[in-house]
Amino acid sequence: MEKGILEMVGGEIIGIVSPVSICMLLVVLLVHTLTPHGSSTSVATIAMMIYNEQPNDSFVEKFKGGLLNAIVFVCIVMLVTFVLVGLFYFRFTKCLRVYMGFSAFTVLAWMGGIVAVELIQFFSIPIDIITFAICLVNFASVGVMAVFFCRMPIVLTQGYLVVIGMLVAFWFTKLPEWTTWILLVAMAIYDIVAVLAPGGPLNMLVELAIARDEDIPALIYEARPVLPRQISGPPPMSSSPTPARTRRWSNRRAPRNPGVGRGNSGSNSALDNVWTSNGQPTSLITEPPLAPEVGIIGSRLVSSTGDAGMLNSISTVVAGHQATESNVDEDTVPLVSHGTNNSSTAAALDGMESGTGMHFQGSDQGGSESEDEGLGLGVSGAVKLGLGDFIFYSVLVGRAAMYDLMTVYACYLAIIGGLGATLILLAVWRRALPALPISISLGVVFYFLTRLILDPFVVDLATHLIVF
Amino acid sequence: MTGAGGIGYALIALGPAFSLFVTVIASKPFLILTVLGSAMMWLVSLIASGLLWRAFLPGAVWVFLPLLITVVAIQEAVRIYYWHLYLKIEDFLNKLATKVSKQQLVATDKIQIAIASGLGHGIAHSVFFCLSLLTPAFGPATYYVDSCVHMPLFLVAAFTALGFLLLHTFSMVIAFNALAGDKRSHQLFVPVMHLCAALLTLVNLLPGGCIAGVPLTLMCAVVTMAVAGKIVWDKTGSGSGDLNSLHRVHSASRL
Repeated sequence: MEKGILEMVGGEIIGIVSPVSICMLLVVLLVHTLTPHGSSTSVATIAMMIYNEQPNDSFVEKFKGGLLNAIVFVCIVMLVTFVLVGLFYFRFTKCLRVYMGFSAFTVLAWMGGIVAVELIQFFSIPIDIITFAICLVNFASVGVMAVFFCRMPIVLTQGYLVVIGMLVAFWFTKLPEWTTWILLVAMAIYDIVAVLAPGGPLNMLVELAIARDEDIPALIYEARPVLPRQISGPPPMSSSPTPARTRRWSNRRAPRNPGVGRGNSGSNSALDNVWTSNGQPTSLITEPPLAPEVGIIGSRLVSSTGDAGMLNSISTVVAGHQATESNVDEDTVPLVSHGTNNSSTAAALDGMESGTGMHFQGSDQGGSESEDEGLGLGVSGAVKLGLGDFIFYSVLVGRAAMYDLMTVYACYLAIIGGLGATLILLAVWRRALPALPISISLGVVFYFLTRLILDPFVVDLATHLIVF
Repeated sequence: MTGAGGIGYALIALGPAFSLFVTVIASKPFLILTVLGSAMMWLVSLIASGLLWRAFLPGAVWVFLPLLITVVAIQEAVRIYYWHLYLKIEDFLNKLATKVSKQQLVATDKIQIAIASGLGHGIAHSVFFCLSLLTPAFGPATYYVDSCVHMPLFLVAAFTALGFLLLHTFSMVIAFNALAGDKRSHQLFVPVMHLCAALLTLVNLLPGGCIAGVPLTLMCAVVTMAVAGKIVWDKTGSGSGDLNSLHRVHSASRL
């Protein structure tokens, strides 16, 4: 029996919703076990340079202090983003990559080590320092290599990215409450400005990337291509792209961009590795789509969807059937976008002199379609999301977990809803869109609504055993 | 009462939902998105009801009656709105199916979407009315409400959540079918059953009422399941007579 339309639509969105959910779940679990009522020791970070929140300050003081903290944080993030844009502009890519590898290692080893120690203390796991040190260093090194430098099974890379996001998010939940909420809102606003305003750093970065047709080394989570094109016959299992597809990809890319390895990216264009790897097109995925991409860019959200991908389908139908029949049969990519800064480690690396432990997430370029008809060609089904989004979503949910699990569920639904709405907007508007604002604003609204209204409402009803 | 108890309560409330999810929904990404979407809509309706009635709670006991009536009315209104959204999505999916030369939505597809939507409502209900209360259940003790000394609060909540989960899931199937076929009796059945089930939980307010309340809720769920089952059976079983129309036609024969 041929598979119907229902099996095909939406696979890419699930491919990105699942890791976001897993990251949020892990952060909630960590918060629930380790710091269920907020961190007792205050963590000195950049985010708290100005105002260190005390529990017995007045409402106005806390608000003003939090606001100042948030403004300072956003300014530092902006500065560092500009520095990174500058580095990219002057082609100091090697420096960028080394720097990012270094910060990934720091996150995994140092923050990971602290979280591991706290867990060991909590569960009283018997382990000695030498074993622990060896394990930790190995874990961190493999993580850095998996994320940046080597070709590894995609699951490993994805897993490490989720772990990095989880660690940074957990670190952020140690901030005091008011500062956290105001910081989230401030980052959402900054995101809008940075991506949509013409002078915004992320906007400039995106344009540079497009103009040069390069990729930026960055922390991006990428899902595997979900659905291969149905070139012939029934489609194979949704999680394994067919070899025929990868061949198409390499044929189209190789002649067009011979110099991709010349990069500065240092990431081997590795299309040659497509065949050497055991059928797993990891290189296919970690290599950002090159020239034949439509120039739709959204901050932190990359989605190139396949044939019957939800996003493609939305743009197909919405665009009023502009695409000809032949287009629809191709792997069409209506959307390409990418990530932006991740300021998170900037705050977390308190001791670091550089103060700019900034991961850079982002990018891909999307070149404007040169020769192509209509919606454009490209890889099908690889969805990418910048790690900064993972982190801020998880921070929101982690902070919600410190109140009660009901707020967690409400915020989770809000964030996923916001993510879906952003993806749909991306398909409809076809321009750069930040991924944070809708989700964060929905999440914050739902948090406060749930905490203030829903919680007493439901608990009162439930304790009277009244249900509807 | 310890981890085992807590997990037990969670499984009572969500076990059937989990198995439904794994068998029907997990293999189709679109249905997973449907579950999330309808859960979100249910949450919005719950927040709306909360906004409306927050000021009156905790309050006098008589407040519950108008509360239940208005809340059920809101939820049924949301269901109708959801139906209209579903029509648009169905249209969109059918257009997409034509574009990529696949078959349009058949009856089993629509029933699956209806199950997914109902499951979204049901899971959201269970999560908010049962799971969020269960955090203390993982601890060393348990809690009895004054009006119900026979069963711990968590057990009552788990059973009622189970009943309402099944009720929500299958009343969505009935509602979709009724609204599509414009069958008055079934269209009325859904809100009436929902209201009955909600009002029957008022029995729990009486001392010792939960002994009657919990089985009554579960019975409402069973009745709804039976009606939904009959509808689906009529649609896909011997009633329709032509089984082939429901299966996907092989691609070769279509070309």
